[in-house]
Amino acid sequence: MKKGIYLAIIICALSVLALGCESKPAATTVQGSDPVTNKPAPADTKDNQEEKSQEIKVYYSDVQVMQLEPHTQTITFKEDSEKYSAAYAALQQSDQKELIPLWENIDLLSAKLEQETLTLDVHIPDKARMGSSGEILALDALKKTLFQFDEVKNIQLLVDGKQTDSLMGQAELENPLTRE
Amino acid sequence: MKNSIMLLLFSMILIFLIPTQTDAAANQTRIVLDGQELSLPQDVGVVNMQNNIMIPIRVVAENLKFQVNWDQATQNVHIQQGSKTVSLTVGKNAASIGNKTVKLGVAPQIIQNTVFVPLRFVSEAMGLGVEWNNSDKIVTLASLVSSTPDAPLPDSGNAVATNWIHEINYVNNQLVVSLDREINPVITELKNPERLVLDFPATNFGNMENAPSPGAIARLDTSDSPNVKEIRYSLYQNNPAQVRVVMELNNVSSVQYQPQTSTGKFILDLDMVNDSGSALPVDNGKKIVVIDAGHGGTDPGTISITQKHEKDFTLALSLKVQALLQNEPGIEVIMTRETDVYPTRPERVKLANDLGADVFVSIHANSVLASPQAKGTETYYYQRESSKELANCIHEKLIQALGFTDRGVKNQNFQVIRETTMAAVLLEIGFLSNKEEEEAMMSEDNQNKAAQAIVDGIKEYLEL
Repeated sequence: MKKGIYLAIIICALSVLALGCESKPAATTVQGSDPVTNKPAPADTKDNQEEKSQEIKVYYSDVQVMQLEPHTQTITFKEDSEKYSAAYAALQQSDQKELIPLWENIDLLSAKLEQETLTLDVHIPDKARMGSSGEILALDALKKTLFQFDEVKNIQLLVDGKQTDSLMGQAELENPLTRE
Repeated sequence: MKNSIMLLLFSMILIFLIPTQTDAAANQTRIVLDGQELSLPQDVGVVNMQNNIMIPIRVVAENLKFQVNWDQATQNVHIQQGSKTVSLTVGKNAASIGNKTVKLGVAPQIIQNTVFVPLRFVSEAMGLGVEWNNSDKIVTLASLVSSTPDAPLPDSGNAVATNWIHEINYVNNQLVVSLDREINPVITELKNPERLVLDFPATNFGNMENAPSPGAIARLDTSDSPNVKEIRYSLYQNNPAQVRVVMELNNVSSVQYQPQTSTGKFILDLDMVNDSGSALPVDNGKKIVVIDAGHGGTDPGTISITQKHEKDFTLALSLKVQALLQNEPGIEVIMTRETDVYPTRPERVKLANDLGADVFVSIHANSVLASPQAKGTETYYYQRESSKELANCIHEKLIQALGFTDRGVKNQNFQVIRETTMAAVLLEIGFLSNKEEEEAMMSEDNQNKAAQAIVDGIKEYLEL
């Protein structure tokens, strides 16, 4: 019995030590980076572990699906390449019930910027399909939101990896969408 | 003891007597569905009534896993598969498939507690391919949806599912045949008089206006086309089925013809040289209206709040519009689709343009499930003044008829209204994502009102 207790204590002690060892190196890096930048704002650091944030206008529909309403949102992302999926995610949710996120149920499979063209691969489940009014506003919302990034000159939409001539069967889809 | 034996003997005699009273060659016939022979209840088989083959509907429907409901009071059979419904009444020639009323060749009958219906109707309504082997008395059914044309059907001479014709039209020097699957018929040219004979293999007449009864010939009214003396068609052959269409031309020295296929259609373009050498008048007085049921087939369109597909709504409403327009003497109506198929947008545009149509109306329903409060009727046109006029005419009538919120007439760049060369509009009748509007749009009564409004709008625009 006594032996068991001793063993348990030893194990506990070892694990505490191990934990302690792990946290130590992390602590030193944090300590180390502060004096380098001298500023607490994460957006200014080039450190990969830091999160960046940006304020953009995200476009939602009004309740009657008659027009678009812009709403300022802050998106956060680690690398620049993640910026677009972060912006798309913002298009998918709204904190106000009068602002309808038209891309809510359309899944983004991938987002990639290559030489000024942002390629978005989406999947449209049945319940996300919309009639003319929704389709037109959704495309408009996507363009207005993503063309805010100067480096995006074209948006190539793919549905399940393939180019299509219409997103939902009414409006024509330009391959790629361009700034007007 | 003796009494009970007597009773037993007596009842046995009765039992043996009963089956012999019917004329139906019931126990000799067999029904094969998708390769499997159906086990039929005793003495229930196929019946031949006035040259119409009748089959026991309950047996077939249940084997296909359809829901079958029998109302003793109204003598009505209601069959349901998913969103498809079929309704028949014993003794009545009118049956309905979904929202469409169809005429049966012979009314359903009850024989020995079983409801029998015409074979042709069943195949059309339930989407089955049919073969009737008269020598062996075997009905072979194949569900067109699940089986491929190559699936072997035992004891049947022909493995290909029948192609059903829904409509035959002749407009602006074009023969337009609407059918289940695209097909290229064998075309023969005969002289003295100049005739074009088109033979469609594995094809039969489905539920269509002016279908010829077996062995008979039906004719198309070509009084407006002076160069066509007559267009007649019939079921030229059965087992396997084959339809023959004969176009007899009038004083024509030579004809060039161009066959083409489009989703659900075979089109023959005619270029005729008159004996007198004069140019052919194209204007036959009738206005050509093309009705386009949005989406279809592989494109379901949107989903309503009660899980119905937009494509079914657009077709149901379009067919009602067609029925009303067919009664208008000054209008020739052509549909881009009459069944659940998907013609591409360019095909829809091409059909209307090639026909030289005067009006093009594309019927759709709106939906944004993310915002169920959105509602109203919206009508689109693209730039052209004539399109705008047509849009205003129809939109106004729709608002009056349905009373939905007026979302207005808008200018929008949609392919089907941009590339068509005539007055063209796209109608978004209402929102299927809105509970009240969806309910209203699914009601027969409102669909009839909407169809009438669309027809009234078209007539107003055409000044008819």
